Amino acid sequence: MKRITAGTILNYAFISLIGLVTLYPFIYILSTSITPAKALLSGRVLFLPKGFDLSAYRLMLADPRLPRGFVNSLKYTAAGTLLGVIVTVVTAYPLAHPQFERYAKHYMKFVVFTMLFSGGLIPTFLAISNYHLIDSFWVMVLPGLLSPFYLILVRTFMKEIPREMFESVMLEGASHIQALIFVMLPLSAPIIACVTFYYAVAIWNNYMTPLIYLRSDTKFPLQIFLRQIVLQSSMSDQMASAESSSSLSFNTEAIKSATLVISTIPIMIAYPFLQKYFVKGLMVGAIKG
Amino acid sequence: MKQLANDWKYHKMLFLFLLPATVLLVMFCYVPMGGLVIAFQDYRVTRGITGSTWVWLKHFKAFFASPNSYKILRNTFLLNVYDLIFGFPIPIVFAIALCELRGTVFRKIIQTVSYLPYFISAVVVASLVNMLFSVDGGMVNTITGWFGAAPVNFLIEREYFRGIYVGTNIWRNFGWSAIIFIAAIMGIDPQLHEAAIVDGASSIKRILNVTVPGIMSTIVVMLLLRIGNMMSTSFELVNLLQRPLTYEVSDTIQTYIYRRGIASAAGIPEYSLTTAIGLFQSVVNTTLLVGANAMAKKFSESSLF
Repeated sequence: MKRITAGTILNYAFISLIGLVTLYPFIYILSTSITPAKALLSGRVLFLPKGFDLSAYRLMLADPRLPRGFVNSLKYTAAGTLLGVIVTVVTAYPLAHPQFERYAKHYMKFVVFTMLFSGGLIPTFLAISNYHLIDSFWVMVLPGLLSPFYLILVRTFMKEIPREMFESVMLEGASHIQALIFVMLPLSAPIIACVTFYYAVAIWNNYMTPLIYLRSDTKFPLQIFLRQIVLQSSMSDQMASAESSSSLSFNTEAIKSATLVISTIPIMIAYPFLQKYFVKGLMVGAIKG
Repeated sequence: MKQLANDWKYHKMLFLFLLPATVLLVMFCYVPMGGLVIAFQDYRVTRGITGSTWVWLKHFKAFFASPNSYKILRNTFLLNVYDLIFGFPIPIVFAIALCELRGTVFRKIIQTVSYLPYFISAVVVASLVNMLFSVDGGMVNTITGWFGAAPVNFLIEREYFRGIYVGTNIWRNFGWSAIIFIAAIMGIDPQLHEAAIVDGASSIKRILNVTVPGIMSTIVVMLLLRIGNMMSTSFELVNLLQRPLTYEVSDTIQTYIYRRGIASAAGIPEYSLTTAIGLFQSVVNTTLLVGANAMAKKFSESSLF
């Protein structure tokens, strides 16, 4: 048993403080979003909500951009994650296959080189314009479809599978497609789950790709609309001086909070269940020598 | 050659499986690398790469001669230096402190909470910062107001940008970065701790003599890899936090390239100039990364690639 010393108490206090600082912004927006507009007028929320009022959520949903952005984001995330995982697994399989070792080494150089050096923003932009992908659905999906980092994760995991597995499957006369689907896929389930969530989060959160490549309102994902909403109110911030702030700007504050809460909810819901997979992926990547 | 023909015959599928990845890498990575040649041209979209005139180092010279080059290189570098100085030790301290709370539920909860911000989008993170630092009743101004300070519009004041950016980055990444150190601490032989306790070492002594040496190689490797990224910043976060009024301190290589090359207000995007700047950044980045990786390999068995 550990004795309770001053050091232990101090440590608990330190760790609690870190936990509080980490959570505080989330508590702040949640509280602001449900505080009635009237209460916000007499002073902002600092920690706990002052009352309970869901009208900010109702007002927020009246803005047609948000449901549309939400649906767009869902589409991009679904398509990008599904295809991304398929391409990653299909590519990792030969690269982990014992019969393919002598080629895998060279192919990995071809992959890793893209992690070390890149054409950069403008050449990539010009290439994508040449493919006529600007402002298209696929520009949100294709460029990020093969992530070298996730490929390395899946390949490293598959390489840990004993080579006898590969050999016995082949001896039974299975094709590579059968071996991949019926043997490798179930065996690699943990790392595939992990990579699936990485893809989903990366696409859901992506702001740079739509900012650069999308032009029309109807295609924007949620992140772009979030940005627009926040920009609108920070403009009003810059114009309003401290005293003359109108009730309108306090109301936008609540709406903004509500929007942030709603956009974070998919991740918040999935997070407690998925976080152990996230960590597993990081560890596979780190252990790789 | 015979071997290849043989493998192709019996394992055609394995080669075919690589086809989608190869096409994607060529289209979105290698073609743009080829596109870097426009850094040496006066590139016009209408004329294409073959029809544009070659000007060799003109754009590099123009960039380094302009006052902007010093500004954006300095900003990129300084944001990284501050992030390294303040952001690097925090996950280590956090990991050590957390591991001292052996086996409690509280510990599990805090660890899970600590890497939650890592999965929140840059837009949401920047919006949170906007709200907390708002001049119009944000949390920070409310608290400074209690001490009689006049409200400050932190986001448009130059002297606060770097602090806000670095602080935000630390908030977002510390928990995730700590995972690797926590794993390293967990890997230390518990007998070493027990022996230290039997010898009557205090907690502080035990941490300094057992925990820290036990994770030293991890620290060195992570530090080297961090240094390998000294010339890149998070485009998204900088873009979202900067305001025209703070460009002097907030403009980095990437945001500058974006504004001059893509979101150009003047109308004509300067493709060749911005590609030249990008090429310069890529070369520095690659050199740093390869160097850091070689060093990391020397220090331990692990490396990034």
